[in-house]
Amino acid sequence: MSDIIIETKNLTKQYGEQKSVANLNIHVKKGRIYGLLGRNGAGKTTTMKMLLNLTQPTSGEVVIFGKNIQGNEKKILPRIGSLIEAPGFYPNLTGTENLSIFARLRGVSKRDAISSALEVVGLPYGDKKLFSQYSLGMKQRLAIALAIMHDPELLILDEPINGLDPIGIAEVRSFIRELCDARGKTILISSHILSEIALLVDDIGIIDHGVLLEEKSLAELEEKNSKYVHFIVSDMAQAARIIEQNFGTKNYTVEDDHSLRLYDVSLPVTALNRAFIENGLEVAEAHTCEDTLEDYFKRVTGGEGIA
Amino acid sequence: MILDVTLGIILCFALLFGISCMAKLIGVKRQLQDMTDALNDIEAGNGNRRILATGNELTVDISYKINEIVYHYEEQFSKLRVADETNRQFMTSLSHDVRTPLTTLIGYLDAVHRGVVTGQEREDYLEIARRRAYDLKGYIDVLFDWFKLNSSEFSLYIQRVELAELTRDILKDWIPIFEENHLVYEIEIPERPLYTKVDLDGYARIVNNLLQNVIAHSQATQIKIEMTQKEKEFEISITDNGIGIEKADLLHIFERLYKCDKGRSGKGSGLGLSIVRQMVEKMNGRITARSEPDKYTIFTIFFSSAN
Repeated sequence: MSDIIIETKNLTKQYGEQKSVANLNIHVKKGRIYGLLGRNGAGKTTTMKMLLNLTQPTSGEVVIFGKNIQGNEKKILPRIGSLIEAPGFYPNLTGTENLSIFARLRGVSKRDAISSALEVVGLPYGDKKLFSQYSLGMKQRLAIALAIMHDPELLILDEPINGLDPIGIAEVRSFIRELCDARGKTILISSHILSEIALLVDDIGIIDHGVLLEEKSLAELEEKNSKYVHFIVSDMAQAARIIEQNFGTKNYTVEDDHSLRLYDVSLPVTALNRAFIENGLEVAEAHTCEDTLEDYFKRVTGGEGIA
Repeated sequence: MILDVTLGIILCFALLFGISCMAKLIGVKRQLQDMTDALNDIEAGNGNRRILATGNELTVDISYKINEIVYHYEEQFSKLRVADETNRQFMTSLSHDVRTPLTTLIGYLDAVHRGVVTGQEREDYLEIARRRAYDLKGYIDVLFDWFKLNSSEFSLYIQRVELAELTRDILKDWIPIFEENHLVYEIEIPERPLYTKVDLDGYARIVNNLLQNVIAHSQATQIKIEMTQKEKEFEISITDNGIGIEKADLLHIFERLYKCDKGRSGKGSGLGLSIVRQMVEKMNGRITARSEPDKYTIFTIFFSSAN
C-alpha cells in the first residue's frame, strides 16, 4: 500500500477570471496530521471540497487511497470522515436522533457507534435537547462526532476548532492527536491560526492566494525556529573545552566530530572565533540561526504574515 | 372455482416472496462484495479499514464482528509502532546526550596530554575531566535502570517495611551533599514506626532520584523532606524553593525523554522522573507534582499503610 493517502495533481479551481486554487500539489502521508495553513480566502475550503468531490475542479486531479476520486466516489467517500462548514442537521431533532439518521444512511462499524462518538466529543447520549437549542460549540462537537462516527481511515476537517472555547480547543486537539498516534488515522485539517497548527500537526502546507507556497514537516520548520550559533571547527573536543573554560557556558550540543550548536546566542561570535583560532583550531563556519516561525511565515507569504 | 382463487392467491404470494428473496439476495451479494473489498484491503495491511453496515442488513452482525477483531489487532500494532517510534527517538537523543559530555571530557584530557596547560591549571583540568567522567557514569546508570525497568525481567520484591527509619537512613547520606550544595534542609519524619509494602531498593531509588533532581535542576536554596500519615496512606513530600516548573511542563514531566529545558543543554537524560513514576506505580503507590515558577516545587509520593 502506498504511503501517500491524498495526492493532488495540479489541482485548479477557477471562478470566472479568478483562480481560487492554482496548480495545487499536496501530499498527505499515511498516519500523519497534515495542516493546511492559510489566511481567510486562501483557498483551503475550496481545496477540501474538491478532495471530497463536493465541487468539480477546473483542471487537475485528486487521488485518494491510490484511486482517482472521479468515478470512485462510492468506494472512497465512505472511508473518509469530513467536516466542511456546517453539516445539515435537523433543528427539530436531538443530537442523538440526528446521528442515528446518518448512521442508517451511511452504515457504521459497530453497534454502539453513536454513543461512543458522542462520548469522544463530550456530548451526552440520548439527551432530550434539540439541535436548534445547541450552542455554537455544541453544534461543532456534534459535527465532529458525525465525522468520526463510522471510524474512518481519513479525516478531512475544515477549521475544526471554530466556535469552541479554550478548553474545547484543547480537548479536540488532544483527541485528534490521539486518533493519529494511537489509531494510526490520517488527518487533514485546515486553519488560519499558526500557533494552533504548530501545536498539532506533523506536516504543514502553506497556501496563499490559491498557491501552495511550501510543504514541509513541522520538525523541519522547528529546526529553523530555534536560536543557536552553528560552528564547524577542526577539533570539536578542544572547541567544547574552550567554550566552557573561556565563556562559562554548558549550553551547547555536539552534533558530530566537526559541528557544534551553541544555544547561548548572547555570546559574541567574533570573540568565540578569535578564541578558537588562538588555540590553533580552524573555523570553517560560524553562523547564527535565529528565525522564529512567525518571521518565517512572513517571509514565505511575502510580508503579509498568516495570523 | 374457489380452488382456482386460492391457487391464484398462493401463486401471488409465492411470486412476491420470490421477488423479495431475490432482492434480499442481490443486497447480500452487494454487501458481500463490499466486505471482500474491505478484507482484501485489510489483508494488504490497512488495519484502519472498516466494513460499514446498518441495523437491518443481513450481514450486519458478521460485519461488526470482523470490525471488532481488526480493531483489536490494529490496537496491538499501534502500540508496537508507538514503542518503536519512542525507541528511535530514544536512540537519537541518547547519542546526542552522550556525545556532548564525552567530547568535552576528551577536550580537557587532550589539553592536558598536549601540554596546553601546566601546574595548577593542569590539576584543575584533570579534576574537571574526572567529574565529567562521573557525570557520564551517572547518566549511564540511569539509562541502565530505565532499560531494566522496561524489560520483562524486571521484578520487585515487595514486602512489609518500616518506612520512617528507612527514609532516615537514606537521607543520612544526603546531608553532606545538601551542605556541599549550600542547601538549607529541613527533615520531618515521625518518631513512631510507619509500616507499608514496598521494595527496599526501589524505594531508595525513588527518593534518591527525586533528591538528585532537586540538586541538578531546581537551583533551590532550601529543601524540605516531610513524611506524614493520613488515614490510610503515607505521604512523603519533597519541597524546594527553586526555579519551579511551568504549568505547561508540569503535565509532561513524568513522560520519558521530556526535558523542561528546551535549549537541550545536555543536562540530564529526561528519564529520571519517568523512572520514578514507573517505580512508584509498580509498588502500587502514586506520585504528584505541584509547582509555581520561582516559588516552589513539591513532589509527593503516596503509599498505602500496612499497619
